[in-house]
Amino acid sequence: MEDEQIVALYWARSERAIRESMSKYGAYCQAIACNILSFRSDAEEAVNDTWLGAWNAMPPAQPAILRTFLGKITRRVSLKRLRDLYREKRGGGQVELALEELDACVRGGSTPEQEVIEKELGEALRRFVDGLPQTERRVFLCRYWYLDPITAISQRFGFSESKVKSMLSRSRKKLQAYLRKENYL
Amino acid sequence: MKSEQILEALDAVDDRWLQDAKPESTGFGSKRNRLRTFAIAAAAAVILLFSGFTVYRVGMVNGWWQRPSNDPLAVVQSAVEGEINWEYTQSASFERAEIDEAETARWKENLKGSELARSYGWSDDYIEHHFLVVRAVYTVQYDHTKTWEKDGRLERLYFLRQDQETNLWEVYEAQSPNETP
Repeated sequence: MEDEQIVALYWARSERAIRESMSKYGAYCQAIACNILSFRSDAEEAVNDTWLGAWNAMPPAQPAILRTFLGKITRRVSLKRLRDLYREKRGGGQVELALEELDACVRGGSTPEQEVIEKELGEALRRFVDGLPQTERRVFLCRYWYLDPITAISQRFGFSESKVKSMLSRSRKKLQAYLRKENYL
Repeated sequence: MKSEQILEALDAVDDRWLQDAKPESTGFGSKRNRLRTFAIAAAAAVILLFSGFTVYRVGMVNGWWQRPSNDPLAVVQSAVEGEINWEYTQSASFERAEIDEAETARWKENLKGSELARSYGWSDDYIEHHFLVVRAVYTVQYDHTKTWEKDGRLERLYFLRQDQETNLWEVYEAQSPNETP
């Protein structure tokens, strides 16, 4: 079923919308949740919450790309679930590794008096990603949005793991410089 | 700022880039494309069996569907035509390509001594003799329900390097394309 038809089902408040979403994008959302949450049961709950989130969002939302619309819901839900499960302690796995890598972008550069507004930071990161070269952008997003392991990224792009790590290191340095220029650090 | 804030704020990234990073069918693309790729490969294998030559098949190299070659223009042609392997590409036809000497010289100077070159272990001498910029014109059509990348008749600069072991040229990066009349 085409995305437009599935969205129309949501708007018509037909429960078939959820079945069609699960059929078409269940594996995609499951992969995102599994990268974030260590336990399969938690990931499955996050995916179930995704369908509820989609049901509540449409209408009025009418996403142009349903796949990434659902993926974003899954990612937000999964990250929130991770925070709720582990509170101050980081949950381990790919999220912890990704956070440790990104720490280098923020360590030592912040000024105490500056306060980051979450929405403005999101827009700044959006512009940063827009400006990345194509391959570098793909690798960056696979790592820090999809939270894929380095091995999976290296296999997907045909790169060595050391090359993936080098690319990500360069991207993080660019990000640090960009955030500093935009006065977020 | 905490790194968690960056991780969460990345939620604002444009959907087209998320689609581009992981098209709906990754690796070989759709079943149709996989069957076509295998059919082409099988036909090529039969021809090669009788001709006695060996050739690189189109494959994923440096994040690009391409066929490394001794001919840099042929590599770029394969990268253009390799676009068809992405799920969101409906058609891709190559028109022409040429080495851009001015851009090549400019790119080499930018690369020499750069952090990028250091991270890859590229010496100035290697850069001087094993890098090229190729300007290509091609026409591509995308499914805009799956990507927001611009399509039509486009001109694009491709950045190539020559592998030190095989001496084959391969695309390793490209600028965003521009529409051309």
